[in-house]
Amino acid sequence: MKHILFFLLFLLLVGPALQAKYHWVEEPTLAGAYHVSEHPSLSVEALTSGTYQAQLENYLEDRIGFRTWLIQLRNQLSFSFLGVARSTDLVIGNNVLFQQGPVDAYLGKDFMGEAEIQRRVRRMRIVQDDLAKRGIPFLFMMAPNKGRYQPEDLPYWTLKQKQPLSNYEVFVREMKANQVNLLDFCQLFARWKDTTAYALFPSGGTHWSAYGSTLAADTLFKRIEKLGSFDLIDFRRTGPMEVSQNEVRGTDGDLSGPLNLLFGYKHYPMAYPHIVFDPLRPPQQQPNMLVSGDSFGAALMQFNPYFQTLFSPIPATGAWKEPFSGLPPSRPKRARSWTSWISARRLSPGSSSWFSLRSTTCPTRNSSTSSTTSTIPSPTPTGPASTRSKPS
Amino acid sequence: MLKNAVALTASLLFYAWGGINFLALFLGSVVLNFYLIRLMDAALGWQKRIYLILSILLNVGMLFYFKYANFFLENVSGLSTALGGAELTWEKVVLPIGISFFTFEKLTYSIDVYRGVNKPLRSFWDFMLYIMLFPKMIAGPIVRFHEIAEQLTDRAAFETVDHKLAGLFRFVLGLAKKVLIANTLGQEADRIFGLAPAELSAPLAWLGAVCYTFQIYFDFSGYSDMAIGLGRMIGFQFPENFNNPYISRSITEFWQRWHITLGRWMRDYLYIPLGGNRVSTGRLYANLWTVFILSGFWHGAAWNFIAWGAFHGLFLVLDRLFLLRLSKRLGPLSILPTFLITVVGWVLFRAESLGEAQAYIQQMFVGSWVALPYFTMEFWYTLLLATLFSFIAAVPLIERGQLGVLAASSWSRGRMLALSMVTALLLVLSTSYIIGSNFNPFIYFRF
Repeated sequence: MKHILFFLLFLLLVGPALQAKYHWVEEPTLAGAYHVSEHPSLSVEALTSGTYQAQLENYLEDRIGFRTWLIQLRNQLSFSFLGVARSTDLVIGNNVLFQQGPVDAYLGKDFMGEAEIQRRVRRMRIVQDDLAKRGIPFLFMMAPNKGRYQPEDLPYWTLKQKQPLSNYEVFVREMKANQVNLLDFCQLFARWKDTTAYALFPSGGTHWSAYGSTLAADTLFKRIEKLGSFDLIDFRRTGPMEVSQNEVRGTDGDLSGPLNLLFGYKHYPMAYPHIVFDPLRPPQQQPNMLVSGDSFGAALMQFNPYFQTLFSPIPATGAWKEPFSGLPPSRPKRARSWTSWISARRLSPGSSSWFSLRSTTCPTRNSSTSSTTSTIPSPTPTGPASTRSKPS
Repeated sequence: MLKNAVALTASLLFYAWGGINFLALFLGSVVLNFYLIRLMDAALGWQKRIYLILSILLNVGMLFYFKYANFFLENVSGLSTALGGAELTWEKVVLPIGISFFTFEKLTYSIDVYRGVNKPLRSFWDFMLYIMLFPKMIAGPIVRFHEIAEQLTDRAAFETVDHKLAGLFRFVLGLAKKVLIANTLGQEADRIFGLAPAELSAPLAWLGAVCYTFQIYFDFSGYSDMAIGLGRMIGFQFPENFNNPYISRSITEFWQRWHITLGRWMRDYLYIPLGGNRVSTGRLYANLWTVFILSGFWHGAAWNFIAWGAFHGLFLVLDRLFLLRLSKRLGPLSILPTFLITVVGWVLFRAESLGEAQAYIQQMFVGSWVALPYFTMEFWYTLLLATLFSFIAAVPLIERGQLGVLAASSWSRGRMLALSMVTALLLVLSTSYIIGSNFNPFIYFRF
């Protein structure tokens, strides 16, 4: 029996090496953006300086057998028993995941100072005025911030770090003072929070949910129509609301995915409205638009093809035609930038808009910042429930 | 014969992997030592002593050159500039891995042969295997020649499945100590020791020092366990290097439980040749202090290591003066003050310089008393585990049980089954922590 025990334990010791060599069982892929070491080139210099050895160790470690399960096991234990996430840039709150950056922004830890913000807003106003002279409307859309949207779910120790001012408050104040066209989804999300039928932010994601982005799109395109006197293609929700808890889509699981847990992450029930677009009818138009934005724009484009349908395609490149996948490849050969979604488009006077989508910080529900969106039609929650479906 | 060849090849590969540049130098040193000692064994009278001195000079000279040349030149340069002279410039000497342990083991070989404790090995390959045996190469334990001489030629008694299973358990136990406890605490210790003194409150400074105290114990004893375990798996019996040092009731006892093989080496090859206990009281204290200052200097070529050695030497002297009597009266309670003394000592050891150590210790005693910043539950649980495993052996029954498990050479089926399950669990956990520690994906990359 002792020999069998020793053999089994020895097998456990060398099993990962054998699996790496023979691939007995297929392992799942890991999520998130990460580097996988490449095979180092052997040279006398690399060998004598020790760099070859270190690089080869990294190479082998990245390819060791059962690596996926071993990582998932460690992550699961850390997450379940110690409340620690192993992916970079992540904060675990009260059964909710947050990205560190937006939390820092909410806490005011990245405050750039009033003078810098004033300078930036002044420049924004110059751009707005210059575009207006050419007949091009300009709109700055402030994306919501999950940390600010639900600070009650942040860990208590982060809230102790809250600074009196964050970039958000000063940006909004200065934009109002300079009469920059602003659509403030921070404030709108705070206002919708208590009445919304479904979660506007996913528990396992950092962006607005599919449902939240639908409400945002409704408001955004009405605002653009008003601002530029456009008559954009109409769209509406159709069919029953799809609600899913285990199979979240797109950016709704962009934080929970890289946790790489053995048994998965328990999400809120997430709603996925089905949107249909009417055909273009005279005298409707598909104006040109230039978008400069961040991942919230990507998330908006991912769930429904608003931009792709409402605005004219770029004739030369056919941009908008392909559905955008907002997530990085699940198992990239090497880390890569995926910011290429920003699409510069031809601007022509009278038929274009400039639309800037930014994820900065947003107000809490109790923020004293006044709304700049009084002319925007209020969204109508279209789900069956009258309360948020976030679990208590 | 074949097993020795395999072990030697593995050892050479292991050393080459860590620093191929120095392999030829070390092989040359091993060859020279082997023949020098053979000549010494054959010689008589003063000639014998000459060969011993040559051997010591060769080995200590190598150690001094590689480990201490930079230190001495830095200090000479500092002195020169302080006296208005020019600053010295030189190409820094790179420290070969394992040189401290190599040197001590080569010295024990020559001294043991000189003393007649052992006959020199007839086979050069056996001698090379003794010096370069890979499990103990980097962090010990320091294996004295006479402890292993017979095993180099015959290990049949230790090559049983019980020994192999016990070796595997010991190896995995060491791995777990290193990976699950030392690394986690080390991360926080590094963060705290990396702070400027002004940012250190007294509680934070103490926490950092305690973290490092546990880190160094679980790290070093973990390596020793791995070495002992690997040794047992291939038939070698290496000496124990740690025996629950933090339950010591005095610094004297601490050095009987901490880095035991170094303590014994210092005693047999340094303290006793200096006269040991058979000298006047004043000389005895001077000898103790000298040995510990040298021990500190052996640990690292910097003033803070010397200060650390002197600090422990001081408490050894104080033990002899009155502290041992006091600790006897205190009984088990004396574990706490002894532990606190070692914690302060580790600050000297951990700090980058003597100045930094001084500033840190100052914050421990006169820093402000503000609440600790946030630490994860992982950190607190690990600290709790480290505390538990460090002090649990203060219960005599548990200490006896531990020693029984670690030193046993045959096992009942039931105990072996239980131990195998613990081994499997710790192995999977440790492996997942090793593999997972380098995998920290970004949610979005450069977005």
